[in-house]
Order: sequence, then structure tokens, then C-alpha cells
Amino acid sequence: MKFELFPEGDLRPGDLREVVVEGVSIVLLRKADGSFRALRNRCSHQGGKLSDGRLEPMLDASAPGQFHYAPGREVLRCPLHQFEFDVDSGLSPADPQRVRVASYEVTVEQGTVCLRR
Amino acid sequence: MDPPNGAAPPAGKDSAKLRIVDTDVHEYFNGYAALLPYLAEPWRPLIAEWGFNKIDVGFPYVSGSVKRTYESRLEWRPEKGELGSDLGVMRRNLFDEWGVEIAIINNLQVPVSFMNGSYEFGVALAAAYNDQVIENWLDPEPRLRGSIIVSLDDPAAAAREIDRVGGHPQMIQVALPTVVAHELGDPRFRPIWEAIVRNELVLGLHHGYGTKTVFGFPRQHIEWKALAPSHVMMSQLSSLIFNGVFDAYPALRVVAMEAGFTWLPYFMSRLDQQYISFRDQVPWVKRKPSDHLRSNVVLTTQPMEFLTARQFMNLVDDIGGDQMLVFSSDYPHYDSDVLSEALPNGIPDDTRARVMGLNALAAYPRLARLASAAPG
Repeated sequence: MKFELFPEGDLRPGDLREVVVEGVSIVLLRKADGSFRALRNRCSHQGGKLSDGRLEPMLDASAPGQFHYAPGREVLRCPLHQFEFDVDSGLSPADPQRVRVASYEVTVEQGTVCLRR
Repeated sequence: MDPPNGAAPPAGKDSAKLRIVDTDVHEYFNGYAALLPYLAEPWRPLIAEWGFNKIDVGFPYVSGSVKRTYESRLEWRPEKGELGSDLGVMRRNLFDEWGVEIAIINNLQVPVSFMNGSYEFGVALAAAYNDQVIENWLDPEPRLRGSIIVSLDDPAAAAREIDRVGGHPQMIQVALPTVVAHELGDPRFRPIWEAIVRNELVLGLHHGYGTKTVFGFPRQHIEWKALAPSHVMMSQLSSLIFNGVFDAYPALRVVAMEAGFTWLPYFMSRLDQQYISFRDQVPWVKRKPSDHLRSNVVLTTQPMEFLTARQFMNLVDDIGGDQMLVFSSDYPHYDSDVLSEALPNGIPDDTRARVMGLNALAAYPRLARLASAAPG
């Protein structure tokens, strides 16, 4: 089912917003490249509200001490225990098999952000 | 199967059906004078004329029970010389009586990585030991496998030494003490890990008398004995994991000796938990710590704690299988585990077979040929 949420211009790159769809809290976010993502707004660890957390570029490294940001990759970090979730998939980069939150399809249709679930 | 040496079947718990690899055996030489024929100049006079006979690591404990740890059962004591110094006695005990197929020896008398200076002498002592063990133990007994001693304080020399003696077909690992003065994840040790992988060896870690707790040497020996080996082992494994050593050298295998293993569920859970929160601090680490442990580390069984079969198997479940545990006796020490009694009664036969021998055959690259071959 498709839900029309808000005008595209309401969120700038880096912004987070909580929306409630059919009683379920979902965090909408806008990546640096302007695209939108949506994740379940409840950390799978102890229920932290991800919309209170931070949207950050994903750190990567090719060797000890050689930090760099993974191109195009961003994580949403829970404010409670700093669990991070890949915003493209909802998976923890550290433990993708066990630690994850649901992700939802987001589209922009005629200037309106829409979510499907 | 028949025992590899054709002797009487070893006793107890169907062990005649098992392939047995003993991963932690200690052989001894009779005092530093025994190293003289192998020691380079200008170091010989230090032993021959100045009486150097021990690397002092500051081990402070004095009591009857501490002294008794240097004793062992009567049938293991040689007629003369140090406990563990007679190859004939070791052959009889391990191969003839117990039916061990392969015994991996590592020596505790030359802990050069605990030295606080005179590192060049330490390098020379290590080389002398390595040549001595080849001539007096490995060449005469094909069922033995040896451990190369190197000095952590000179990583380049350590790598050269590994290349120098690592070609001996019975050398199987590089043995280091669990030191507290160095973190093994420090990049300066990478030449050592590269040499280990290059020579298809493993890194064996075993505490020594210089291994300390967070208190240094705690007030009581029992505190040291209970905690120092496991605590420092955990710290060094954590250092290797979080400084990316296993990511850089996926083929590097570590054998954690005589440090216990019942702490593994805690250790795995604790490291994984921190990694999930703080992966961004160490993004060069690409896998969960518990995954690195399962693929790169095995732990020796001695000293076995009092475990029921149920407790043992619960622990196996908690750590994701029985592949991480390899049998060790710690022969000939007073607290060595009796081969036929080491594992709890009632564990599955296939688990017993893996822990007693098959896991070791798979874990040490230089035993891989034996893994698919008929025993003996």
C-alpha cells in the first residue's frame, strides 16, 4: 500500500523525520545525494528511537589507520548504544545476519515523498 | 586402527579408535650449558664463564605448593636431568602408553620475549634453542613437531629466524609467551606474522612465568594461576582482532595454549557487542570478532575444568561448534590432563574424535597432509 507523506522539499540532505504510518513509527531520511530512505524507527537492540540518532557517512578502511568514507554509503546511528544501520538495507554493517531493522521502499512522485509497506 | 607405534592399545574411553594429537607438550634441555654447542659468539662466555643460566622474569612466588608444581608423577621423571628432558621417557609415556600420534613440543626455558634488554643475546639464545631442539628432539623422533622461539623485541630478526629454521619439516609453529609489555596487534610485529604465514606455520601463544595480571604479579600465586593466563590471552587475541591482523592475514592461525576455554562464550559475546556499537573505530575489521575467532583460533583443552558432558556440550553450542578445541596434555607438568580422562564422559563420539585429534590435523597447515592420510 502506498502512503503519500510530505513534500520533497521538507527534508534537506542529512535530515531525519519521524512519521507514523498505520500506527508504526518510521524514520524518513534524506541522504547526501538527495535520495530518500525509510527504516523502522525502533532499534532492534533495545528499542531506541532512531530518529533521535545521527545520520552519518559510513566509515571504512583498507588497512589499520587508513580511514575513509565509503562512497554513497550512510548509516543511521541509534542514540542509545550507537548501533549503526546501513540506511540502504537496514542491516548492521557489523552483524548483518543478526542485527537489522526493517526498511521500506520510498519514492518521490510529483514532488511528494511516498512510502510503500 | 592399530596404534601408530604398534604398541598396546591406549587405555580408556575407546581411545584406541581415536587419532590423538597432543598440542601442548613441554620438553626440557638440561641447563643453559646444553645450548653452548649451538650458541653463536660472542655469547658463549656469558654461559660458559659467567654462569648465565636463566632469564629472570621476576616470578615472585615461594611456597611448598609452588615448589611442588615442578614435580610430577614418578613414572614421568627421568633417571637423571630435568623433568621432560629425556626423549626415551617421553616416547614411552606419550607414544607407547597413550597412543599419541603426533605431539607438539614447546619449550618454556628460553622466554626471550620477556627480556628487558640485551635483545641481541635473546635473539642468539632463541636461535641456539631452535638448532638444539631440531638436533636432539625433532630429528630423532618423527612423531614430534617443534616450536620456533623468536624474540618479539626484534621483529626483523624474528622473521629471519622463522625463515631460517621454518623449512625443517617438523617445525609446526612459532611459540610466543603471552607477554604484557607488547600488544601483538602492533603493526611492528607484522613481519613475524608474514613469516609465519609464508612458512605455513601457526602462532602458538602460551603463558610464561613473566605473564602478569592487571595487578602485575598479584599477591597470591593462586590468583596468578587462576587469572593471568586467560586474561592476557584474551587481551592479546583482542589486540590481534581489532588491529586487523586476521583481516590482513586470513591464513594466520593462532593456537591459544593452556589459557582455558570456558571464557570463550563471554569473550565472543563481549567483543561482538562492542563491535556492533563501535565498528566505526576499527573499520579495517571486516568480520565480527567471534567469526575471526572461529576461523583463526583454536584453544587447547588443558587445564580442563570440572565439566559435565552437558556443560561441555552447552559450551560447544555457545561458541558455534566443537572445531575450536584441540586436545592437550601439558605433559609432563604436575597439572597435565590424563589423556583418557581429559574430556567428560558422555559427550558425542564425533566431538571426542574432533577434539582429541581431527581438529588439530585441520588447524595446523603442516598437519594437513596427515589429515587425509592413514594414521601412522
